[in-house]
Amino acid sequence: MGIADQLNTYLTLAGMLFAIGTFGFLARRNAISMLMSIELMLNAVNLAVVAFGAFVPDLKDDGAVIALMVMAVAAAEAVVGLAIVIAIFRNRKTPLVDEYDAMRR
Amino acid sequence: MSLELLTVLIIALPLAGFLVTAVIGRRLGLNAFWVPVGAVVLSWLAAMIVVSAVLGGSVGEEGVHVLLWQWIPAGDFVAEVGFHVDQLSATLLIVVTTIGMLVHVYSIGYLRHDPGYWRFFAYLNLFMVSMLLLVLADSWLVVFVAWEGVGLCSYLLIGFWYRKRSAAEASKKAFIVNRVGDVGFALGIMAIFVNTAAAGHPTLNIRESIEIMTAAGTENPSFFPIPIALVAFLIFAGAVGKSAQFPLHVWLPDAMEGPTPVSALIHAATMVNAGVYLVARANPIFASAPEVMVVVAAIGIFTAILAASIAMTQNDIKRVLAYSTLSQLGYMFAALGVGAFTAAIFHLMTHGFFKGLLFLGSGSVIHAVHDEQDMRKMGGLRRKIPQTYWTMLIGAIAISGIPPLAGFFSKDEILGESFKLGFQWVWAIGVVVAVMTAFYMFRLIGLTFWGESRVDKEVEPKIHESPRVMTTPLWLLAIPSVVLGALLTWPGPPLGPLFGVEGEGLLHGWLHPIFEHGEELLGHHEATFEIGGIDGTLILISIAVALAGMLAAWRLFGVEIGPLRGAGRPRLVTSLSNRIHFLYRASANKWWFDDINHLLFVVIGGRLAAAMAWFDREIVDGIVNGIGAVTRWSGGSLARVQTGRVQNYALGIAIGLIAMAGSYFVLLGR
Repeated sequence: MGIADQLNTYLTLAGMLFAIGTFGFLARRNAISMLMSIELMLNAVNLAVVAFGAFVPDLKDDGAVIALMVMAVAAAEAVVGLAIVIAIFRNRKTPLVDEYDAMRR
Repeated sequence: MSLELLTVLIIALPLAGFLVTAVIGRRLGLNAFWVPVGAVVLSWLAAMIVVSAVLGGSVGEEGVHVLLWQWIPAGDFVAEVGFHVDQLSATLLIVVTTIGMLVHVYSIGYLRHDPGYWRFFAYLNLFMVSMLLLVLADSWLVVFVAWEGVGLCSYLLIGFWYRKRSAAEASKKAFIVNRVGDVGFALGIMAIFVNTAAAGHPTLNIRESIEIMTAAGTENPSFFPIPIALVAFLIFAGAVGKSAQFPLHVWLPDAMEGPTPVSALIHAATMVNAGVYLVARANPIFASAPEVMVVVAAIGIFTAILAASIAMTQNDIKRVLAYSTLSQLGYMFAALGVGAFTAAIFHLMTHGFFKGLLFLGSGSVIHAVHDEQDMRKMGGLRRKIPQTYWTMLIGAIAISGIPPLAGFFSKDEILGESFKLGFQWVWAIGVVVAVMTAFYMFRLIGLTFWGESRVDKEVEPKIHESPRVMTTPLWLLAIPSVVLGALLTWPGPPLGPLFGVEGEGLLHGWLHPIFEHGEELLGHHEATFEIGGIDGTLILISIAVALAGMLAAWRLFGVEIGPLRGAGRPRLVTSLSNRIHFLYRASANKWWFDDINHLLFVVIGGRLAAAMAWFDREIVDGIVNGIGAVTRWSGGSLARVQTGRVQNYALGIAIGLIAMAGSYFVLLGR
């Protein structure tokens, strides 16, 4: 059985993508980069879901449906997130989130 | 006009007078008296029509009943606002409206020079409204409202000259001391409600509730949740406050700071009688609790002798009368306590008239000598103000109990009844009080009207008799002071048949339906009146002691009636008061009651309150503030977690996620 035929391969890849996304979200100060990291995490999850759908007979149809729904949610999230980031950027003239300190004062 | 409408008018007229005067009185200036006095006169007319209908028996034994509206409808229980005029209310109506009217007329002259003219009449009318409501109301709740209403008016009128510090303090004292009794009364009303509810029919209607609480089959002490004796005691507590009986008597003498018409109307003739009325009204409740009756009698007769002993040495003319009022009220409570309810109401009526007369007379005297109240600076006023002198002399003879004036009949009835009903000790003390009464009254007359003038030199030539608007009420009060006693005890024609009462005194006949139940419960039965036997002896003793007191006063303070002449003996007075130094000082210092109260409530009570305040400030507030401080401190420390950096929060989420996932694996791995 080749490496491409095993569920674990896809799950490992998904886990790695998720970890990279998480790291990016925590480490980057740029709001746009953070949104991109979020997308990465969502796609990691999508990959895992689709992999389950392909390898577990009971989840055959469900996996694809869930993946489609996650995509829709991710798109909506990206729209709202980007709108917020642009609004803040117009206000504060900076994309760096550690300078968004209105709540602290 | 129907009787119901007239009954409402009795109260509505002074109420309208109060409203009108309160709103536009200031602009009327010296004409402010027309509306309030007119209202009271018309109210008197209406009252007289209602009274004659009720007492004449043309409306039957039930009396006139008016239901105005339902005040508190709550399921089974409905508190109604309504009036009920029965024989007891009617007799009280006579006193309240007649004296009220005469005092209003008198005030036209007395307060002439006062800037608060309109304010005085507004208050006076408001008082009439409250007092009439108290007498007419048929629900305990409405009686309580009226009870507080007269207290409020009393407060306002005692402090009428509120710029005077002593007047302001006296009004506060009256109000606060009255509160003590009112707590008892309020609890009594609640107890009545609880008891009637326990009997299956919650009501605060006076007659219904009394009927329920004294109905046959309820003798078992555990039938009611609150014992009848306690109910009676609580009602009596209210009466003690309002009628200024020991130990709540201290407010009445100070209440003399108010204008004299107020002292006459509120603190002699009407409001202070409210306690007597209340106990008389609740007579079956008291009759079901004989042990409380003994307390009533004891407190009454003790107040009588205490106040009489103080009255003997006071120098302020109004204070003598104030203590005399206390003492006479004591008589009334003694009469109630021994079960002689009719005698108490009888004395209430006669006392209202002659004490109202004496107070108004003293006001005329004070007016004449330019606001001097100290009898040591009077004397010899007989010739200067003859009208005042003669009317006051009539009042003094009446209160001393010399036949055939009014006071003799009522006082003798109280003393005689207490003796015959088995309260010989009440009778014995009462006889001593009778001696003292005659003594202090003629001391007052002697010091004020007889002997040499001791008036200040600059005032002396300006002494003048009061205007006719003040002397006419005096004469009008003097008439009932003379004849009322004989009138109300007269057994035969022509008056008896007129009112459908025969064979007994008028008043007895009128009040028979009211006190029938109470007397039945007490087991009293009509004793025959034997002028040749025990009754005659008691009457002779009464007359003898009254004469003794009078003669003693004449010997010490002089006399000038017709051929009777005698000079005062100030030296004898001094040597006598030195011989019984302790008693003299006790009397002059009012038995130190004000000092005892000061020590108890101001000094000791003040310390206790200060300790409580410290406890509240340091301990209670400390705990509350401590909780606040701890919350604030911990909140401040925790606030540092909120950095406002998105990464920090995200890190928190990530750590949480790892922790959850990690613990899942750890648990799964086991």
